[in-house]
Amino acid sequence: MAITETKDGIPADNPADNPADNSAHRADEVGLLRRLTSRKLSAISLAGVGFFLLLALVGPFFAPFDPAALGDEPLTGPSAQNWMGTDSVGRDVFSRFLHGSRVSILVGFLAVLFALVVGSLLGMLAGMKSGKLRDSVIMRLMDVILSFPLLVLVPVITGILAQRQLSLGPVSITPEVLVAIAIGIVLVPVFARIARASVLAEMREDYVTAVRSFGGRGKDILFRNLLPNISAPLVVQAAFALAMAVSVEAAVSFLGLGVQPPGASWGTLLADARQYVTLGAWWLVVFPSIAIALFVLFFNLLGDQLRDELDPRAKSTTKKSKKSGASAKGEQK
Amino acid sequence: MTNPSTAATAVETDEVLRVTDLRTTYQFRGLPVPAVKRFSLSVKPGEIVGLVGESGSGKSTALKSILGMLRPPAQVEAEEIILTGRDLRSLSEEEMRKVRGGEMAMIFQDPINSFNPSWTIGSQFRRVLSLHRPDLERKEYDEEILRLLKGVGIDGRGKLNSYPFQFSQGQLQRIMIAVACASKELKVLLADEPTTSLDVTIEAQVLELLRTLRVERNLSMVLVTHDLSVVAEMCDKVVVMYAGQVVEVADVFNLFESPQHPYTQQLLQAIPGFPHDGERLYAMRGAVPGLATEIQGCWFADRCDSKLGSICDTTPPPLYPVTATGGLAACHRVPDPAIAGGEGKNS
Repeated sequence: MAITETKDGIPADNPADNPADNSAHRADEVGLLRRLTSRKLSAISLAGVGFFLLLALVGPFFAPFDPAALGDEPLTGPSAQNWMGTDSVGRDVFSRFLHGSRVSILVGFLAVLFALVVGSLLGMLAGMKSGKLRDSVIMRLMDVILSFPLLVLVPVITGILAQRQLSLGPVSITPEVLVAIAIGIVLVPVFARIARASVLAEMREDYVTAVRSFGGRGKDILFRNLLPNISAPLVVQAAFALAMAVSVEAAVSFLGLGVQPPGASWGTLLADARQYVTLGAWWLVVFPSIAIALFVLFFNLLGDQLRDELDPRAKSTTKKSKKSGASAKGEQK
Repeated sequence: MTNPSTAATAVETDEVLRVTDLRTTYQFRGLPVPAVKRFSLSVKPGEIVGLVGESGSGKSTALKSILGMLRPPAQVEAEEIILTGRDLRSLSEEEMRKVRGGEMAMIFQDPINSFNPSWTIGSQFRRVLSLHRPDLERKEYDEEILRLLKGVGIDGRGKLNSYPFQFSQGQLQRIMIAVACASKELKVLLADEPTTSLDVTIEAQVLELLRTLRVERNLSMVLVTHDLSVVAEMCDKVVVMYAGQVVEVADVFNLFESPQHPYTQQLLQAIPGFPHDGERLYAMRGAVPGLATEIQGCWFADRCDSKLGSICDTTPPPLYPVTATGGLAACHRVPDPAIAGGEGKNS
C-alpha cells in the first residue's frame, strides 16, 4: 500500500491541480471522531459509551468480593463495605453489578455483531439479485422473523437452544452466548432490510457498471464496492440495535429465560430484586435499572449523532454545512 | 451456440469486432420493449467508429449489449458478436468477465461517478491490474500504475492514495482511460460519450489522448457521441442510429458530404452555421417514436422531409448499399438513383 508518497513528491502536472489535496483528505478522515467530540451532545454520548465499554472490560477486576460468594448479612443497604448493599443471600450487589454489566454488555455486542454480519450479508445478497428467487426467499424469511413479537421470539429461541448442551468443537457454548445469538437472530431482519435497500440504491450507481465493465467479480462488487458505500446506515443502526439488544437481554433474563442464575446480568439482578423491593430493598432495583436506562440512552444518542455525521442529507447544523461548503469549493480545483 | 465456421470467417476478414443483427429487448411493465433492433457494426483494427443518434436511440444499450453487461430481464440476441475471432455469445460468464476490461473495455460519460467514492484511485487501479495482469507481481503494481498514468499525461506520484473527488473531471477521465488500457490484450475501447461532461478545452485534450492511443496501440474504438463535430474530428466511419436501428453507415467524409438517409441530412442541417445570419435555426419536427410503439414502415417516416409515399408507411427499409459511396442507408430512396437524386433540393 504505502508507496513513494513523500509530501514534496507531489508535482503539479496540471495547473488545475491542488497539491494540498492529500493532507486535506487526511484531516477529513480523522474528522469523524473529532466532529463527534466537538458537539456537546455527541461528546456526552461518546463519554457514556466509553464508560460502559470500560465497565465491561475492566469492571470485574475491581469487584471487592466474589459475586457468587454468599455472605452473612442479607439485604443490607449501601454501606462503606458493600457499596450497593447486599442481596437476599448476602452477596455483594456491587460485585454482582460489575460482573453483570460485563455479561449484559457483552451479550449486547455479540448479538449486534451477529445480526450485523448475518443481516448485512443476507441483505446484500438479496439486493444484488432483486426480484429473483434468492431475493424473495431471503426477504420472506426476514418477514417471518419480523412477524413475531421480539419478546416472544427471543425466549423461544433461547429455550430451544438451551435445552441441550451445545458445543462448537472444543468450545462449549455458554448460555450467555445462546442469549446473544437468540437476540442476534431477532435483529437480523433490521440489518437485512437496510442492507438490501442500500444495495438497491448503490447498484444503480455508475461505478458499479464501471467495475463490471472492467471484469469485476460478483464478490468484488459486493464486498469491495458496495459494502463501504452502504456501511454508514448499518453503523448507525448498529448503535440503535445495541441499545435494543441490551434491553431485550435484560427483559428475557428478568423473565428467567435468558442468563441463568447464579450468573449475573442486569436482567437477573432485577429478577433477584423482584421479591424484595416491597421489603424496602431499593438498592437491588435502582442500580441495574439506572445502568440499563443510561446504556439505552447513550447508545440511542450516539446513533442519532452518527446518523447526523454519516448521512450528509440529514445534516442539519448550519455551521457545519457552511464549513463543508467552503472545503468543497477548495476541493473542486 | 458455438459455431466454428463463423469464427473462422471472422479471422479471415480484417475485423477486430463484428456485430451482426443485434437485438436488445428490455421489459417494461411486462411488455417487451425493443431498445436496439437490427444493429450491425464492424470495426477494423485501429479504426474509430462513431456511433451517433439522439438520446434514447439505443447507442449505449448497443455498447452494453456487446460487452455482455446487460442482465435479465434485458434480453440480447444477435446473429454474431465476434471479437478477434471469438464469438462472445459462446463464452461462459467467467470467460466473458475476462474479456471485459481485458480485450474490450468501456469508458463512461461521467468519470466522477465511474469511480467508487470510498476507495483511493490507487486501490481501484490495483484491483483492475489484479484482474487483468497476471504477469505482474503485486509489488510491481504501483510502478505499472504510474507508468500507465504517465501514458495519459498524469503524474501519479503521491496521488495514488487520493480519492476520486480530489481530481478534476478531466483528470478522472484520463485515469479511466489509463485503467482501460491496463490490459495488454486490449483491442477495442468502447467509449460512451467520453467527453460529454467535460468542457471544450479538456474535451480536446481527452480526444487528442484517444487519438494518440489509437496510433500507439493500434486500438480500435467505438465512440458514442451526440456531437457531430467530435465525429468529424475523430472518426473514420460513422454509424447513425435512430430509434434503436442503424439508419446509415458511411465513412466520415461521405457522411458529411453526401448524407444518404433523410435523418442524417436533417441532423446535419440542424447544425447552426457560423457566422449566423439571423435566420431561424433548423429544428427537426416531431419526436422519436416510443420504442414500444408498433410501426409498420420506416420509423422515421413521420418526421421525414422527403417522404416517398405509401411505401414508407408500409415497408420497413432494409440497409441498402449506396453504390456511390460504399456506405449503407436504410431508406427506400437509395436503390432508385433518380429518386435519391431528386432529394437534392431538400438539403
